[in-house]
Amino acid sequence: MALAVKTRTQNTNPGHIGVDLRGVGHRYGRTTVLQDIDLQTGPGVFGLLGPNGAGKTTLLRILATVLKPAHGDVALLGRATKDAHDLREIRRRLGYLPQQFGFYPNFTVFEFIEYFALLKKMPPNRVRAAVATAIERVGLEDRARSKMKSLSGGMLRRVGIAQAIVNEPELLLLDEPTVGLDPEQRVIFRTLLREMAETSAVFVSTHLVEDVAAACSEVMLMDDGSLIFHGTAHDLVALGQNDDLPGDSPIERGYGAVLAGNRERR
Amino acid sequence: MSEHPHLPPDVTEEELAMLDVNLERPWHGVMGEVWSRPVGPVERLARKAFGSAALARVLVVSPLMILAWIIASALVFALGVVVTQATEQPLIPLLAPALAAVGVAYAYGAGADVAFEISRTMPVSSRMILLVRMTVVFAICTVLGGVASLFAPAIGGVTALWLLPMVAISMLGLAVATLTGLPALGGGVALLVWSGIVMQPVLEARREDAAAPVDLGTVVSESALMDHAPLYLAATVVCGAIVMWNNGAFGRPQEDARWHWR
Repeated sequence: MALAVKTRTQNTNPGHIGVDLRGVGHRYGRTTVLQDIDLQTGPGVFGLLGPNGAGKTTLLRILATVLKPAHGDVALLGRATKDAHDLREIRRRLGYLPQQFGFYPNFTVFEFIEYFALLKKMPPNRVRAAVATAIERVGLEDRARSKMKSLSGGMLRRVGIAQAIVNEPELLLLDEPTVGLDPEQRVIFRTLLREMAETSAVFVSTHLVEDVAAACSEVMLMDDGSLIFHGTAHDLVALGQNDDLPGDSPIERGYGAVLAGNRERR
Repeated sequence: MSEHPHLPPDVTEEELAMLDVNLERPWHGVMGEVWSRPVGPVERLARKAFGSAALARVLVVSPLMILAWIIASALVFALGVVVTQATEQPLIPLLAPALAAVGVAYAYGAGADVAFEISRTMPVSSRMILLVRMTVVFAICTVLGGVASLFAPAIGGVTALWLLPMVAISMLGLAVATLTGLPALGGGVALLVWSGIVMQPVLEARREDAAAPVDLGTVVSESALMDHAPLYLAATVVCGAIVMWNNGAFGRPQEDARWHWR
């Protein structure tokens, strides 16, 4: 069910919104965590699903330029990651929310986001308005001056989202962004994602299938380090029409069906 | 309480008046001014000096991030003053390199550990951030040590030459920390090596004459520091190169050793 992908030569194409991974693989010690990932996208919101240990976090780290893959070519936003100058240009336009992140307890919400806005080399005279915008977009206006240590888990997560979007990134990578958010906040978050779909490439790794169904233009399913499905949420739902499959919703059943099919083949 | 419809209720008229905020500006511009802390003179100066608002901010917030170390160092120096006055051993120049090494390892750890992953995606290089933090540690250590020295005049007038072992030992600790990914190990190794350097002449004197008085200050006497200066400088350069190489300089792919520990 993979979408037909246009093949492009690996030329730099700055200004292109999207990613281009060819033959990307990675190991930790002797354990292979990613094998032979080929992925080309334009703008949009891409959901990344898969069981624990499938390699989703590793893939996001590679896209976030935190991790250099053991082999393969990575081009982000039309630039190769091998060049130091291009890497800096990519990072100015990038936003990343890891699964776990530390926070500086005595910073206020505003100061924390401002700190990273500055580190992203945003023009200093635009930083404050951008930080205020990001705070409003995640609904934390009444906590802007609260210290980070006084926040709940869900609020901390939203601060994390805010620092990721403060520079209006063209490439946004979110690892389990909705953990700790209540259903109302998740709805606001999905609206945020849909707003960004036109002008950015957004990758969301999540266990929550319904988040993917509601907000993602394309869905990728990973298992055991490989990309085993790349299509629309609609395609995944179509695979789950059989009620005998495990799962409480068509998309969950589709997810289960693809996983089971992949494991049978191995 | 604010009567303006766009502002949250906790913003008072006094606050707005003080900020001289123009409410005709877009909402986010206004709130940005209200919620942020004004940039202080130190940060403004640092922006000009570094040519980077980011590094200026790193400079200004570093002391807050390593507050535990600052307090601990102040206490250790205070204790050092008391002991120096009692025993007449020049403890301050002995303590300074040790505390600085611990501070540098701690700053590396605090900066690296807490928001590690997010920091690695920033266009501002982590090397520059580390350099700024190290400078802050050295400056604070020098100031604290200088103040302590006022209360505990050293025997033989030790000059600021103890800055040399301070930098060298700190770089050693940092090199170990970056290679192993364990800041605590870096600090520990640095302390061990410095203790060895300090104790070596004492043990030698003891071997020659079992009744010799213990003089911990041998290694930080002016003559000893001058003699060993090339050694300290070489250690600084080599360890500095290791740190930079590990952080992605000299064409090495930027991948922190820590990743292999997960």
